[in-house]
Amino acid sequence: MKKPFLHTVSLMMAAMLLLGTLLLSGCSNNSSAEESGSTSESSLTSGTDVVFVDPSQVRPDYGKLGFESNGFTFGIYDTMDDIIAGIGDPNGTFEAASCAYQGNDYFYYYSGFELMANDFDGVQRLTHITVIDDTVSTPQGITIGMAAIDFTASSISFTDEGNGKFTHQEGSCIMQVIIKNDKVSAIEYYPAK
Amino acid sequence: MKISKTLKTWLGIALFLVILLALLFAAQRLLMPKYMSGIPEGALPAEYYRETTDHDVIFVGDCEVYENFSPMTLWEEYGITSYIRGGPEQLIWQSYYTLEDTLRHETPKVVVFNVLSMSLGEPQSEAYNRMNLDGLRLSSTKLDAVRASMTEDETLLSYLFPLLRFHSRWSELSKDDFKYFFKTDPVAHNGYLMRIDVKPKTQLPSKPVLDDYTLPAIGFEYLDKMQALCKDNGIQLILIKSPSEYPYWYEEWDAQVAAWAEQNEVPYLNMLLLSDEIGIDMQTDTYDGGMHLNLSGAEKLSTWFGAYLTENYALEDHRSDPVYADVYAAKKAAYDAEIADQQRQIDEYGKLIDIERANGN
Repeated sequence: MKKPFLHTVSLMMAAMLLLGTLLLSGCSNNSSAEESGSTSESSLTSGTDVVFVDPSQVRPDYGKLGFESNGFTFGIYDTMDDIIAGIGDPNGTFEAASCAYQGNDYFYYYSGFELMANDFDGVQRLTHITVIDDTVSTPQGITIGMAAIDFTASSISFTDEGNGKFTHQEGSCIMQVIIKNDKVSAIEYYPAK
Repeated sequence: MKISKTLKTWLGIALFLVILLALLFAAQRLLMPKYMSGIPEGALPAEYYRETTDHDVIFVGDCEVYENFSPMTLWEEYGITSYIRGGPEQLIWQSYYTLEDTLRHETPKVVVFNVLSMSLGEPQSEAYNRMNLDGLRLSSTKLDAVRASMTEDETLLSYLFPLLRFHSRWSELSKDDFKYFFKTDPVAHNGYLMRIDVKPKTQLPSKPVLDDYTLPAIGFEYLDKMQALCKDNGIQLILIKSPSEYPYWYEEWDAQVAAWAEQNEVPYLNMLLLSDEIGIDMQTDTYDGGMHLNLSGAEKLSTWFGAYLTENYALEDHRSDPVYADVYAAKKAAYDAEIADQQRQIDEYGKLIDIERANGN
């Protein structure tokens, strides 16, 4: 004889099991967790955009946008260990924690320029180069204080982004130059998003 | 009495739904981050709802409020009751909605907003959104805050049902998730996250040159809204720039905020320019090289700010009120206990070992 009540209950138990399986198997369309590879507290609350880059996809491909010091060429996403081995120890360092004390930015100070690095799977990689003064020049011969007209004659072409900002991209590296009062006032390198 | 088959079926369905909801709620409770170690900032929004007395002063803003001001000092020295409803990289619209949420529970006399977040005109990251928003109680205000804050890949549904977001944490559950399943411990003191260690300022990174120093218009839109919300509730708004030296606060930004403040007759205190008067010494008053103040710095700043509030606003000294006195006596005990514990760690290990371990060091 059929027992509809028990049949109903068993159907409901099966539905609960299915729902639970669906939830635990990752049916959410939220990609932040997947990008970072984890929804642990630490990955969820990593403070910088850079950390949301899949570490396995991070590799130096800066092409002509390498920076040179002490005869050593380096660029975005090179490891800091390799860079320091090549150019020597910094004059000073600084660590900037995010508000949540995660995703630290590591700064290394050198004469004429400054490097910033972030952690990718425990490896510190270069994520920002800032030229500080006119004692250094880029491999293209661009320096702080250079006249804008001389900058425009550089060996690589830049895109005019407006407001005096010019960029050139190679691979996942961007070189940015800012012109103010007809002079180069800032030179930076950073990863493309 | 014989129960009909139909009624039995409906009772079964109802029972099923209740059990299902209970299980889903339990799963959500277990899987959501507890923020008890490593990143206590995530626990800040919800901790406010434990308060049993009102506050005459409410702070909103980013880490430059919840790390730089001590409500206990405002209480002890001036009898001012205050709470810091700050959050990590709390964006201005999140500050607005957090204030709106606060006004569902109380009406302060003064609201203090730190203006650094006005330099950010777009949603920044899900991580910071979660820490600022998940702990807010569900309301239309929270939904508005979520809509204003979501990054491209986020969904409103995941804030209504956080289990949709955190379900895959099942493989990363820690002892904390079970220990704090029913109730979390307080992490702050009226919203102030304490650090007593010292790391003197050495050399800060160079000040980046920007192509455009115009502050995003959305910041002023929400400043207008904040001002209107305060006016409608008889609250006085004060804008501040906390004396943290990094990230940089440009003169060009300062001028824009000062202009708005003058136009709207709202006081604006750039505390970076008042550091000498306040007595801040970045060799002793910071725990991270000048970014945030430690306890010494926070208490100095609060002493100065309390004097400013007392001189300029009709704030009541509640120290003789037995209800407040009892509540704040208990808060003081917890405050002193944390100072003692942090000092013990520094004496024993030379650093705050709990924080180091929580951060995987």
